[in-house]
Amino acid sequence: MESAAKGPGAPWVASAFCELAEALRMQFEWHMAMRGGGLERVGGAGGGYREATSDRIFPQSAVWAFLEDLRELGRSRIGVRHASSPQLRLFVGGCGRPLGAEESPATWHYVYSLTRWDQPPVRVMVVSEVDIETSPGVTRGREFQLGFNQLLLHPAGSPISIGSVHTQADWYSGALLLEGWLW
Amino acid sequence: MSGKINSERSATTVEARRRVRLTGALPSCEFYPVHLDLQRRSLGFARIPRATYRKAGFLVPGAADLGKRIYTFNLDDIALSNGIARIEGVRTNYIFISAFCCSTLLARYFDLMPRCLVLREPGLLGQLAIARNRPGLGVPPMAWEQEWREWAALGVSLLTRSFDSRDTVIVKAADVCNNLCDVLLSRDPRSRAVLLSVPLRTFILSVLKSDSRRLWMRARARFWHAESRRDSAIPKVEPDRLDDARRSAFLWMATQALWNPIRRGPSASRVLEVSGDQVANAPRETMRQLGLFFEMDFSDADLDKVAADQTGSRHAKDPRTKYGAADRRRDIEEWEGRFCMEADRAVAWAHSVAPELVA
Repeated sequence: MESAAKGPGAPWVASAFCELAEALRMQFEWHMAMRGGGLERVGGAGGGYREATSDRIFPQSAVWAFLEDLRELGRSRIGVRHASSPQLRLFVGGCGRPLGAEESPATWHYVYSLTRWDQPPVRVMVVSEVDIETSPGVTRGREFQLGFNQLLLHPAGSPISIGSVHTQADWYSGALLLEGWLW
Repeated sequence: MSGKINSERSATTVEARRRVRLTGALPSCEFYPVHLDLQRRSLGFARIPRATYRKAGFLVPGAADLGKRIYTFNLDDIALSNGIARIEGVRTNYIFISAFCCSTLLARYFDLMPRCLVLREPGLLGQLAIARNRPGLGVPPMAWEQEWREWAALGVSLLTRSFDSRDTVIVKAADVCNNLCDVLLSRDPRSRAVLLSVPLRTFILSVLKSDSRRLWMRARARFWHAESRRDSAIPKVEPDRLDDARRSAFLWMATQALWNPIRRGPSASRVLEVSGDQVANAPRETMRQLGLFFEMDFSDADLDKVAADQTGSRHAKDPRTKYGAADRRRDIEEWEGRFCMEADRAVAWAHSVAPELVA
């Protein structure tokens, strides 16, 4: 169910994380089909990805339940109590996201995949602070492959990249990630 | 056709609601926090103009028209946002009350003063006060106090926002907030507090005068009795075994007990005791004194407004009704005539139960 690297602040993956995963995915598909998107383009490799705040796509009750699952995991596994609402990010047609870390006072960053189960998993590279110190200028880290309903937690200060998603340029087969913070 | 129009209108409403982003809502006190849910970790905001702050007798849904829409956000998002860009508040002073002490009248006088944003009994503060002693099942009280203080700091910072950075916020806190005095004063060293009360005997008479006040008092006595299990300063008596006059005395003593820590602690120099009688009988002088105490620099012209305005001749909670200081004095005399014996016995009882609180 779970895979964890060594060390207290090491990246960590939980599978079958959220009971509402299929409902969330369905809600996303319904939103895109019926309401025509409303996602904003953000610059990045391969022409940029698209994003929206989760409350634009999902019913509040679903976001609330997702957050409750996150807080429960945070409390029981990494000793944190707070979870921010996710930002929804969609990667299609060769786009990805280069290595970088957003500034945040939070201690952990989460990446949750709602990519369809019949699509290739999303490649997420996490570079630890140790890697940055010992090999400056060299991108070295640990790659995780996130499939449907898998959650990656990593220290907020660790830069991550999202590998290019080689699917057709349609939202249906793209990589769908929810990202946010825990502390 | 009309169904289509309705559905379009409904969709627009939903869109409008969603377009309000947290980053837009947080800096503006137009978004006024009304409903805190610590279990669900959410905070709902109403959207109100400055005029509503001024008009509302109490700034809580149901007691004021706060609009039909509630904008609900994840409390953790608010905390994170505050961690990235701290909510900019202005200097905030507090009026803590014992009930039936002319506090609404005093708040209305502050409305007349320049650069004052007055919050009358904000609901969020009451919710925080009630939540303080309710850790929930399985949560150790000390751990809860630590967590609660984080939420209290965040909630209070939302109440210190104003429409103009030159404003001073005056929070008239509901009586259930008397267990927050220490937290509110320690949050900002610039904050000062007025403890507004009336003498014990006047308080008892003010309660006994009407059935609705007696009902209100009985519920509050039960509330503070329950709190007394967690707060050792509140006298240990069974209010349900007392008559209404003694119950009123218990309520008044509980307030005094809750105020003692800030009267005697490190914040003592930032605390001023004011009598409701003084507010009713000498409003201009009271406002002059409070202006100096709150360092608000009211001019003579500002203070003249207090004397000239009809606020002092109208009922503070129902400005359509004529009611001035002379009416209030007459009323108290009349209550004396009706409830003199009960009040005597209750005052004597209070002296026997907690003489240090009554002295």
